Amino acid sequence: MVGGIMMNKMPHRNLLLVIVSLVIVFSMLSSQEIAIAFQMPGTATPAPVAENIEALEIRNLEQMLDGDDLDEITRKALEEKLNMARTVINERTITAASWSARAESILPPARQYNEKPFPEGVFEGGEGFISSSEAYIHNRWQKTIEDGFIQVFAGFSAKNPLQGVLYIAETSADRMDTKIQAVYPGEQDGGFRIVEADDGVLILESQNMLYCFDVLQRQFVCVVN
Amino acid sequence: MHKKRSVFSLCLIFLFFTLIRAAAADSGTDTKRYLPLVIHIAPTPTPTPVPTPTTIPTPNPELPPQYSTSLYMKTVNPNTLFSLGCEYGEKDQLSAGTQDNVVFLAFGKPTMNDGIYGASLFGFGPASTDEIAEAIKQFGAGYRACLGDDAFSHLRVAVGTSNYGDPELVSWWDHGRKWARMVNDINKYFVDQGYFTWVDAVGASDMELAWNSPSVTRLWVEGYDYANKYPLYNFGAAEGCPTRLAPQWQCASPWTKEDVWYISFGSGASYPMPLIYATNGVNARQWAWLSVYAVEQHGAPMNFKGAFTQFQACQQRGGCDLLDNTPEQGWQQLYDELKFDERTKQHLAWSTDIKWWGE
Repeated sequence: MVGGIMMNKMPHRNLLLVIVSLVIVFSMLSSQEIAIAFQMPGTATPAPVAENIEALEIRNLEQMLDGDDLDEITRKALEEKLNMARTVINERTITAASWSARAESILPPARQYNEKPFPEGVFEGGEGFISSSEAYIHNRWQKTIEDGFIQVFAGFSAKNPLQGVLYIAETSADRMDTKIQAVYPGEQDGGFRIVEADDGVLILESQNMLYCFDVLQRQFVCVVN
Repeated sequence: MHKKRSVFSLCLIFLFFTLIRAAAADSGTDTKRYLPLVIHIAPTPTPTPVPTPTTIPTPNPELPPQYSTSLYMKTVNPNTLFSLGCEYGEKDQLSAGTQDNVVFLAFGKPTMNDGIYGASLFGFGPASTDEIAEAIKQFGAGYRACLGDDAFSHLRVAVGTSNYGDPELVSWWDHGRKWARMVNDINKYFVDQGYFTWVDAVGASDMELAWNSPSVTRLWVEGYDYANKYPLYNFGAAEGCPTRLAPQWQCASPWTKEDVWYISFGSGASYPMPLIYATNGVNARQWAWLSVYAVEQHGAPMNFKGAFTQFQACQQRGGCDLLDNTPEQGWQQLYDELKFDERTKQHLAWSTDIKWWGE
């Protein structure tokens, strides 16, 4: 009889042991760890790797600021950089703590967006559209065409300043595709500059000559010495 | 029998506890531990910090990080930017491990029309700073939306312009100040919306020595530094500047090493993430030598954020003879050159490669 009672009590004792142990385990974990483990909705979720990069930056800047050889301007600059890195970590912590939105609730903007009209005419510079390692651009002409946009950049080759060059860039109406063609004159008379545009024909000047360039034909149609 | 069960239960509990703590162990710091989201543990080892007087310690050998793709932008369409951000979010979500990248979105040269500041969109603009800010906010929202349940990946968006342009046509100091305010505004939105843990923004400028004078470029940087809460990344080259192999070279006139140092690191806002495109390694040697200059003249090396290449843009448009380092080559060249002098040796966190959007 006594043995039978003991047999019935043992599972309860085990259960109690499990509960007590779980309480101990969970009391040793932070609420954040528990929340993350069970993917609780709206849980703050920090980004450890990014934080490591900022933390390394902070540690690095603090070490640099300990240096004895720093001049005043560098010390001031390093202090500002340190403040910026701390700002980022603080704001990341604030965001993680207060975040409640779910990713699936973030939607694209509802309104339609209309692109502004493409600027037409002759403009100074090349906008960095052509790499500076390739050419120096004096100016450009641009116009909307039936199925997109066309731009002609005038300047000289980065490798040879006497070599004039034109770049014709044709871009699709959705702006996503651009094809570029380079055109060189026969002579090496310095860089081109567009001086006039008339019905698809550009008048270009170099050091000693004038050129007419037909944009559609992609060729020089006159050269005047 | 029952004793065995009790012991077994206890073992199970402690196994559970141990697993939790072990899986939560992060990659080297001693501050935070996370529960078993094992799939998100960083795939690459994080450098173990060893105190040195100057730079971040580096594991040996250090390999190039996964590169990101940066973009030259011809639009500020918020819908397009949301979709674009979503692509980056999906990519990070689908990639194994935790991702941490920087992506530069370059909007062209500074503009000022009727008192409204902005950028040129490479001839397709101009777009005002308000329009650019809205575009980046949507990019960040798209990134976060498509990151899904990836709780740990992070993207830094470097909002880029350049120092290209007429010194007379733009109030450069004021433009820099406006650019900094735009970045502040973008980050405020990210904080308010709860995205900042996953996506944040910094200013950026492609500051090329051939594109403008040091005085104009410094003015812009000073304007940025006047109003900024967040850093400014210089992704330009140091044309003509000397190297350890050619210490007699001069930076493209009228620029000096001091000017390049100031816009890249000497200003409180600035960090270099320079264009390392030359396959012969000259860009890397120039920047490393500038960092040696920084140590010798100012008492501290420059902290580089990483390396910037143009391989994909070259693939798109061609014309990059010997200027088309792959991202891995560019990063390795800069890392090796910085390592050449113990005083400038450092960890390079990021690698990015630019191309034209949509092409």
